Parts: sequence; structure tokens; C-alpha cells
Amino acid sequence: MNEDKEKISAWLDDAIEYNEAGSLESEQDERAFATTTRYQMIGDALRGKVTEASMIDISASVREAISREPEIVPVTRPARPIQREAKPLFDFGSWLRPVGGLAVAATVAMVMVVTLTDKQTATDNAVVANVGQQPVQALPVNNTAPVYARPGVAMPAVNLNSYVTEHSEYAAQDTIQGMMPYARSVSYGSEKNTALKNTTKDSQTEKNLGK
Amino acid sequence: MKIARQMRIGVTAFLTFAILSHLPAYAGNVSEIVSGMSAADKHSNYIGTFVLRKSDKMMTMHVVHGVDDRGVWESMESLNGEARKIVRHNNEVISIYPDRNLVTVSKMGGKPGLHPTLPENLEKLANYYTINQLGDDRIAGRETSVLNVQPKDAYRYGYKYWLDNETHVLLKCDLLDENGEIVEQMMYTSFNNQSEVPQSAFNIPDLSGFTSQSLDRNRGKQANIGWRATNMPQGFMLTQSTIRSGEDNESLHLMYSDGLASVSVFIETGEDSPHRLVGASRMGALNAFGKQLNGAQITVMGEVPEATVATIAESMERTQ
Repeated sequence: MNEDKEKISAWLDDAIEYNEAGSLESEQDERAFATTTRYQMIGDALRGKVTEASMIDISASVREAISREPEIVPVTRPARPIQREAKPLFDFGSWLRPVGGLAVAATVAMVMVVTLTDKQTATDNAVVANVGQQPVQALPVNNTAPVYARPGVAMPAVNLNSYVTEHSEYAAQDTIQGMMPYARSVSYGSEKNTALKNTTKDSQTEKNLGK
Repeated sequence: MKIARQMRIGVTAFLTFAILSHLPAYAGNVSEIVSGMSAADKHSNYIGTFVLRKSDKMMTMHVVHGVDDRGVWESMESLNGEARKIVRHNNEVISIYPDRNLVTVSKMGGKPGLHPTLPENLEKLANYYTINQLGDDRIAGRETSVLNVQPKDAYRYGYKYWLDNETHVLLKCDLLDENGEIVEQMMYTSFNNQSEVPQSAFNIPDLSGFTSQSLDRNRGKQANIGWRATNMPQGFMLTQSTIRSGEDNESLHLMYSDGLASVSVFIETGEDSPHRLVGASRMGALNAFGKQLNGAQITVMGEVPEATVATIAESMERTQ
């Protein structure tokens, strides 16, 4: 069996040709296939190439493992006709069994959801410079939920830094959040790679000091 | 069996009483905390350092806040990225950009901001946000009360505030988008409450050779603006308007606020507008939406969902 495993490993690493590993087929097909799949997954995981398909197999394996667990059979007690047994307020035992099962399932599901969500969030959080010019639907009543389809056509970035700075400084005066908008104002100007360019011309108010 | 049923009824009654009896005190406490947060700006002296996280960027800032007989002073200086300092004295804000030899001065005239209108403003906020107290936490070594501010519609973001129990100063703030994800986070890493702070912190450095830009403001002047939003989400009021005239163009800045969230509408006329945004744009918690209408460039931005800025932008129209 160990020899088989070595063959599979070598084949997956491209160390031997498929023909050399071919003897595996005739021996123990099912076991060899399972081993191959497992080795493939380990290899993928090490190379950071775990696919959705391989993750689904994990849940299937867990399900299979649970099904192989011995069934919990409730212990029946002889009836006592004279003295009735007082039922506890909360039967923790009966709570724990399904909760335990749920916890196992939830943990498996969470691992998958977190992994998939992370990928999705990374896409969603990407800074969108300027996307699209598809018109949005204006709402006739302003207290209804906004109906808005995000445009998907990318356009070149526009420098809005002077607007951002002006907005932040003004916003600070109209909110109960104290210095929070001022902090935003400082932070927007602090990003070296998005240096603020004061492109707004105002000949009446702009002047040079000491020049 | 009978005893068990009685016990269940007793437990249920106790829990119901505990929840109901807690509600009025809870609401009163929230009001007090929010009012304290607003008032903290005018009564506190402190020195601290906080971090601000936006998307994948993190900034550290040093802040000195002081109050004397001339009013409120505040100095804020970025410790990473481009050097920048803001010195605020009441409603006058001076922003200094040493790397670019630039200084902007903005002074708001007329009546002061919405801060003094609390608690009336708090009642208005309750129309658009649900405010709950979540419990206590510790930030920068200090005990804080945590408030959760959840929007009642999809036109605004949610907030979570950590307020210092002693001074009511905001020590941590999470800004949450419509999916409950944190889009911006501010937190003090050090905070020292002082009896007074050194005035030298608010000194303006030598600005020889700097270019100065002055931004004068008019508050709430709606007359002769020439533009209006026909579909403004409920609760947003025009709080400021600024008109600036240049050689070739004219720009109008309208500011709307619901007391927590603020939205700016910039309208530029003239052909050489450098802000030709068409469609949506995003920078951290800030969303912007631009469009062109009748030769004018309209840009709406604010720390609100993208749908909000888009809705407002699409509803702008000329009145004259």
C-alpha cells in the first residue's frame, strides 16, 4: 500500500509518467482514487489553489464521518406508577445533543463562508475611481428605500481632493461628532499618493503671502 | 409539574419587568450621553493621539484640544503621510500644507453650527436613527460607554460611538455601511485629560511664501442660489452655501446635514471644470456621484451610501 502511495505522490509531482502509475488502477481502484484526491487537495492547499469543489468535499467527508458515529440511544427507565419523577425545568442533555450537532455543521459552514466572503469583500472594497455614467433612477418620494443599480463601466479617475477637503471642513460644523470630520479632513490630505491639488481657481480670494 | 410551571411564569414575569423597567432610564441615559458628547467640544482640555483607518489606509494623528475665555482651540497634525496641520479657533479653520506651501483659511459667518441646538436636534435624529446603549468598554486605558446609532432607512450610514465616561469625548468611532461593514474607524491610542493645555500648540508657523486661499461661507442662504435638489432624503437640511466666482467659472457649494451625516453638492459652471466626474466614485467611507447638466458640472459627495449621493445628484435642477 505504501508503495502505491509513493507512486501516486510521484505521479502528482510529475516525477513519473501516467503509464508507470497505471498499475494502480487494477489493484484497488476506489482506495487509490481517494488517496489521489486527498493528495491532490493537499498539494493544492500548499500551493494556495484550494478550489470551491475541493472545499465541498470537506463538508461531504464531515457528513460521512458523522453518519458513521454510533447512534445515541435514549436509555429507557422502568415506569414507576406510584412516585412520578419530577421533570427538570431545563433538560440540558436534550438541548446539548442537537446543539452539538448544529455547532459542528455551523463550524464547517462558517469556514467555507468566511473563505468565500473574504474573496468577495476584497473585490467590493477595491477603491473604485470612477465607474460609469449610466443614469440612476431618481425617486419621487424621498423616504422610500433607494432604488439604485451600480453602474459598471470604468472611467478614468478624476481628482476630487479639493472637493473632499472642502466637504470635510464644512461638515465638521454641522454634526455632533466633534472633531471627527476635522480628522477626516486631515486624513484625506495626508495621503501622499492622492496629494490634494487645489484646482479651484478663485482670483478674488487667492493671494501670495510674503512673495 | 405545577411547581415547574409556576417557576417558569415567575422567571418570565421577572424578565419582562426587568426589561420594561430598564427602558425609560436607558432612553434618558442615551440622551444624556449624546448631549454630553456634543458639549464635550466646548468644555474639555486634552492631548491625545488617535488612528484613523479608511479602507486599507491607516493614519495617525496628534490632537490638542483646549478651551479658554476666547473659545475653543484645536490643533490636529498628521504624523504619517503628507505633513498637514489644522488649527481651529471656534468656527475659523486654518489648514496648513507645508509640502505644497499652501494654507487655506475658512471662516463660517452667521449663526453657529447645529451643536447648540441639542437636545432638539437629538429629537430630530430619533426620526432617522435608532440610538441604543450597548454597554461599557475600555479605550486608551479609559472607561467608555458605547452607543449604537442605526439608520432607519438606507440613505445614511450607521455609527458606533465609544464615549469617555468622565469627559464624554469621542474616543472611538466606527462608521458602518448599509451592510453593517466598518468603512471607517477612528480610535484614540492615548488620551490625557488636562486642566489646561499649552497655547503654543495653536501657534501658526511662519507662512512666508505660502499661497493662501480664503473660503468665505454663508449659512443657510437659499435665495439666489439658482439650484435646488428636488429629491433630498428626509431629514437633510441645507446648512451652508458658498458661492465663489473665478475669472472663467463660478462654483457653488451647498451643504446638507441631518445632524450626523453631511452631504456636499458642488456645482461648477464654465467649460474648464477640473472635476468632470460622471458616475460614481468612492474613497473609503466617502461616496461621490457626478453628472453634467446644462453646461454645469454637478458633484455630490458625503459619508453616506452611494445611492444617496446618486439620488441627490440626479434630482438637482436649476431654479432660474
